[in-house]
Amino acid sequence: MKRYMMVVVFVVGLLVASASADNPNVYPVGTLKPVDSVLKVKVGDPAPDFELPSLAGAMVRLSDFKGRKNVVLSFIPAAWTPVCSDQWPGYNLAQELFDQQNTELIGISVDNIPSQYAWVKEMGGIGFSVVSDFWPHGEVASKYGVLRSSGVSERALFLVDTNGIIRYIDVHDINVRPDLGVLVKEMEKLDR
Amino acid sequence: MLMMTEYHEWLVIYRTLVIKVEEVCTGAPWQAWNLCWPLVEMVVPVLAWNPFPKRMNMKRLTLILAAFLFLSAVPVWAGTFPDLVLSGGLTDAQKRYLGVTSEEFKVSEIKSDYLFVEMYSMYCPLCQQDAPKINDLFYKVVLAGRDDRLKFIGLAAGNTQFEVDFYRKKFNVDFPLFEDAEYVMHKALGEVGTPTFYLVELKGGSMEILFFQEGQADDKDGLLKIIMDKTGD
Repeated sequence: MKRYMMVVVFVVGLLVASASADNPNVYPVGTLKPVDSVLKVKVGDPAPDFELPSLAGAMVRLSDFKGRKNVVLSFIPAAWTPVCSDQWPGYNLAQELFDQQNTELIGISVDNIPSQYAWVKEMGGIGFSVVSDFWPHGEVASKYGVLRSSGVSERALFLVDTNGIIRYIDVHDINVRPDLGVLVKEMEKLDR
Repeated sequence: MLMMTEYHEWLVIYRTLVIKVEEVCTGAPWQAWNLCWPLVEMVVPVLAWNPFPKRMNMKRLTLILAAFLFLSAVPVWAGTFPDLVLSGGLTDAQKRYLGVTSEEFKVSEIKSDYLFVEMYSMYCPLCQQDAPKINDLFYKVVLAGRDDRLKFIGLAAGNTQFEVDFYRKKFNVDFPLFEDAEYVMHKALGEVGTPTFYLVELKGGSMEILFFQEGQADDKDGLLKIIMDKTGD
């Protein structure tokens, strides 16, 4: 009996191990409901202002960029989960595409700072601002209407122009990474 | 009852074990594990819920799991690279390099004795770190005069043409890269992690996988030696 149990444990273990071929530290969440919230803003609305603590230590306030830079708000559901764990490294690689459009990229998740710190370190570092919408929990995500019933945010992109007006919204299927090319085209439409 | 924390402890322990085994056995059969995941998603939660009930026939359970493993592994144990359809974004020089004329063609139509394939993603930090190393590998093959018999291609898992073009420009990649926005090729290759490297024999229509490595190209010189040795004839 013990021998059979050991064989079963070994085989299952090897199979389970295969699930994490990309990164064993990423938590497998499975396939989720694509969108689980209702937007509270629309294109043409003023972007709700916020001030959140950043991984770098300083507070980041959206209105500080008014009159100076366009802003992309990249909401991701959670640290240590699939898709999120490659979306931001991709944006990090493509930072120059945001710079060329005079656009500040701000990454937002509902995780607390220590969790974000460990996750970003695991990903090899992120050059853009990463801010924590942890407390009051998901308040900013809720203001924009992208807080899911589970307490994480949607995978959503908001493009805000230098006047503080929302010019593009993509509340994406949470299971899928948005195409960077589409976002770049939207940025190109704005004044630099 | 097996709790979720224990489930993930298992995952880490066995993944470490598999990596150790892979270090010794760097061959195509090892990607078999990755083909099993859809079945694992069904089997493991059941086991986790009630792994060893009193009346469970363990012999039967073992046989079922072994059958899952075997059936999942068969296509890769055969060691044959799928004849993927490649399309889009090639310059005339790159078409000449691969010996093709049309915009869409199969791997088997590439005019070369051997093919080095990198499955990567622009979004994968390890692939980003590996990009200069793979470029270097490519140029060393060219400098060795082996490029008429050994071609390089990259398959971009989950990347659009825009993302492929950006990656190519960012890292000055000279060998052809192909988008796989819908993960069609990635699925055909068993949803391997990125980066993954293959050396495929094309001559005589063989499509045999001569070398397989899932994971970062830490030992660039070792990888070059393997490629040169296996394509030296």
